[in-house]
Amino acid sequence: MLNDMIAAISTPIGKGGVALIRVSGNGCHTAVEKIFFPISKKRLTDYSPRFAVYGEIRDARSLIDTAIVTRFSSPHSFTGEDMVEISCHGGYVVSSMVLEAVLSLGIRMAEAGEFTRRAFINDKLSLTEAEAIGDVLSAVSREGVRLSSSQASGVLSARMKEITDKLTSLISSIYAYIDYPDEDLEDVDDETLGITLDGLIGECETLLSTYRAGNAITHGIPTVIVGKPNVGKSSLFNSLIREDRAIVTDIPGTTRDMLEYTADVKGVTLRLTDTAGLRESTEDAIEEMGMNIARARLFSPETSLVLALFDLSRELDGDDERLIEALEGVTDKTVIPVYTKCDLETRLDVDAVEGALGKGVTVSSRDGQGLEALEERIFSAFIGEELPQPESPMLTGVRQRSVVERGLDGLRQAKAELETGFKDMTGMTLESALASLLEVDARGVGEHIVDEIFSKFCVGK
Amino acid sequence: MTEATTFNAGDVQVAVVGAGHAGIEAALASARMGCSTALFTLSLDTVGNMPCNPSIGGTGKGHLVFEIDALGGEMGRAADRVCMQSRMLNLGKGPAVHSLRQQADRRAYQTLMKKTLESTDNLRLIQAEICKIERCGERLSVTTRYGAVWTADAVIVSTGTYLDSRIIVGEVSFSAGPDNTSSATYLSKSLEELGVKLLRFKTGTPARIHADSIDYEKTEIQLGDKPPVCFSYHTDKEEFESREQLPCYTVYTNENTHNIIKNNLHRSPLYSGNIRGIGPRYCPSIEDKVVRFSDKERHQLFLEPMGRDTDEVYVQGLSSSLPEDVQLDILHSIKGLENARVMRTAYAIEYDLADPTQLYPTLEFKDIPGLYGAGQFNGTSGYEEAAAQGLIAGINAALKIQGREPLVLTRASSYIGTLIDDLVTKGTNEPYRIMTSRCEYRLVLRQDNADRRLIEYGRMAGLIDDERYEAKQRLFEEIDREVARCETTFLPPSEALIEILREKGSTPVSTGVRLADLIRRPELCYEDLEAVDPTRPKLSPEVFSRAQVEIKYAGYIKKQELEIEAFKRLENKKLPPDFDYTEIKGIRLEACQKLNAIHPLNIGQASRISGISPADVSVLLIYFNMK
Repeated sequence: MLNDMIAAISTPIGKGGVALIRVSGNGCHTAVEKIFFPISKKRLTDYSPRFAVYGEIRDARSLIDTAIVTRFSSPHSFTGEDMVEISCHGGYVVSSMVLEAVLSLGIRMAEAGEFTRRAFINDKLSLTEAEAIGDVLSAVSREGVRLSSSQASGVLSARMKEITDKLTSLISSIYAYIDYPDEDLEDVDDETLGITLDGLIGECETLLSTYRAGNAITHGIPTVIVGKPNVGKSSLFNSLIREDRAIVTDIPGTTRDMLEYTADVKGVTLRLTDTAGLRESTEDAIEEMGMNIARARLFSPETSLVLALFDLSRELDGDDERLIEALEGVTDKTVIPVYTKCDLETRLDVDAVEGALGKGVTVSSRDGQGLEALEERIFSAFIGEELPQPESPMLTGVRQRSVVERGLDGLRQAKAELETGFKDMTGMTLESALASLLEVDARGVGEHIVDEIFSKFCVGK
Repeated sequence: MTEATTFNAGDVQVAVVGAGHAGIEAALASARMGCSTALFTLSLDTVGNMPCNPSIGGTGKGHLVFEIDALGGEMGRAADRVCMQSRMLNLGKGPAVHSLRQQADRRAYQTLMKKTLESTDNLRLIQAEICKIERCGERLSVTTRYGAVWTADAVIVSTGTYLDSRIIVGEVSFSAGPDNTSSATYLSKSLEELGVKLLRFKTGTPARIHADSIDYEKTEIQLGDKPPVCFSYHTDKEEFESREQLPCYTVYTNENTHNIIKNNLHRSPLYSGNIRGIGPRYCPSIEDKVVRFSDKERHQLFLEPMGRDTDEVYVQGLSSSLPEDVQLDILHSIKGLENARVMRTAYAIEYDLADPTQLYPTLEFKDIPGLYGAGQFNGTSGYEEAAAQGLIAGINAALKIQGREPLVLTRASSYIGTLIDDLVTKGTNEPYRIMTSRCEYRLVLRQDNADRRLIEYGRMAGLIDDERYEAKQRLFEEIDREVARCETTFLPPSEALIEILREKGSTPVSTGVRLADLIRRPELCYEDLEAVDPTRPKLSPEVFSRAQVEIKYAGYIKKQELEIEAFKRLENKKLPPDFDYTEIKGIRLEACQKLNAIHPLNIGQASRISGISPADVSVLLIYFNMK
């Protein structure tokens, strides 16, 4: 449906003091009235459009937040449809709860770019050119547009072009061989084909190996700090960002919501999340929710670095053991044990921790000792010895990585198929590998294989 | 011209202009579907002529001939009857690209086709030049040079390379059709007046030489397959296999040949600007090849017999429009052809054709109801491409007259569908030739299963009789049953099996193994396992070989079928045929113009128009609310 109601948090989640939640679609004004109650006791629709109204967001049970809500009437809105904008508080928990209350009204979560897409369809945006439309409509082009303007993409494009040109020429030689059997073309022999394929496989592997660093440099390293309550997560958080952002007390459970800040580690950005301490039980509902979110974040596929904190001055307890057990199974993230409170007598069984999670780093938040060693560890785990040269091609985005991976799979499969001698299959597999690799630059496969056959080979009757 | 006094000559349901390979299939299909049909030809002596190579089939083209036969067309059947040599190309490159090519006896083919046309009910074969095609109320009329006016519900234009054609040899050029026949000089103007946009292409053909003037000692012989494979369901295989096959021969150009060409390029009309038409890339003249592929030391040439009762030999690969004296020097520079006596000189030919993007996939003109185009008139090259389109145009003209649903073959169904979709969606700026690499669904579009892919369409059109249909159904069932048997039969790790595997260098087995899994191993084939397969039924070699392809390819076929499903989803999202795309606000002007020009029938076709981006397609999907 084109005009069904959609909603999304439009501001970066968990960042900033205020979050904006947008709702668009037919009937959204009256829908939102079921969860928004102006302080004036009037209804939202009693106010004129574009009038900011202060009130409470409530779900069936209780108050969630106070907010300023503004409604816009079609066509005078961003999307051109009826819209509501809710400005609420910016914490992760609060804004998520407000969004959930909105979604409970039968409004669905917007897809990526859907607001902009509606704006475009309703002629609200003057996006007349393809790249702008593509930017809005598909992640592929957005990436392409963003990258093409940057220095990095020039380098990556050039490398991708080298690889895809070689592959195109390989495919066209197979097809020329198939389509012109009488033409006295040199046989495409399996050995040469295999060598060329191996070369291409190697190039793709090399490119893939740049992803970890490339992604870390351009997007930062999503990092969570975990550990039982009062182990010193917020102190480490503050040390890393070199600011006192997190409230540090001796009371376990002080941090209940998530805090997100960025820290600079030798030129690489850590996207740092301080979470609520993980302990078995709490009677505080908000702390409990904070812990749930912390767990979710810890295991989220987006997280790539986990700093697992252990208190040197205390013996391993159940909370520690549960954390170790949980982290042992994690393979898609880097886990670094960090020992705190080194100024007190050591009671922690360090071997038990390192046996499961690997070598740790000891950090004193009080005088900053060990902080540099920790930064060193992080840097070498993600980047290596030094920052890569700007002129070396790097994969920076998840999409890029996944299309190169698909291309690589295709190349490997083609290599395996060579043994069957069925060139028709090999050609097909290589074509789909090429299609994947061309996606890096958002280029399409098409006539150019046929063109290549003609430009390279002398065929005809 | 002196205008003849017009008179009412008669009325038919379908009038076909031109009796080449497209016109023949079109006329036969419409007549066999019960429509009264008139087929006009400039000369009864050139019906079904092969003005270029005396062969039918080849890579991609072989697929087309099998598909024509599966739909109930004539080409494969006739080719089999006059076959002089049959070779399956691309053996060892995978069954999807096996392509059959036959040397055809040119005269015998013409005689046979003419007789077939003459003996078909509802069909009149008439020698006349059509000078005008005009609207006549809701219908159309064609007018001959002598003033005869025929009215018709549908007119199919299949004028090949005859439309305002010119032959060019060196400095000489004159108005003529292929083989010095007369050109159709009036029709172009009439078509333009009807609103048809014309283009101009060029093609060419090599010299024919006398067989006795070839020094066979210096050539390599090329023999036909034993046993030879035929195209058609109708062919009596025993008789076909027993027929004597004629050899072809190969020779090569050399450095001297290339020097002669380079030294005389200034006399080539291609390079002096005398030829305006755009020539095909895949069938270049020898001077083209030498210029464009200057690092190639030699070019292979085939010497092909023109018929069983003639000594004319076709020199494949030596097409040229250089002056005759240069042609002779070129020929005589080739080892084996030092004393070659030329019987027909090579020439280039230029001709008018219609921009195929004016057509629906039914091959009917979008703006001129009842007018169809087929064959080289639509911008293709090759007898097989022409016949395929003629068949589809003929079927669709008849279906429309009978008030039935049109036949549109998709890319996923056939090479024919791919060919037509390419033409009407992308257009072409040179004579278009089908190739396996143009067909993205080629793993399922094989020669061997053409009948299975298309027989239902032929049946619906009324071109497949009950007997053939039922015989085919039985065959398909046998294949399915055999595939199922192989998938469910387990062979024990017997000594005999282990011995076979060892002999073939295949990984040994220690437990029971599925017969199909063994067949899927590249190093093994069906025949190898006969001794250890006691439940193997007695079946024809065709069933075994088709079952084997299905089994060996199973994984790929499945994958491709998924792709086809995705393709069909887009193909099923219909677009309104008369929609004005300027109504979509914000769509790019270029996309808008392209869409208004092609008027795609569905989202799939729209996405294949060159210059339409995935973003444009998303806009269409959203606009038409089809997501």
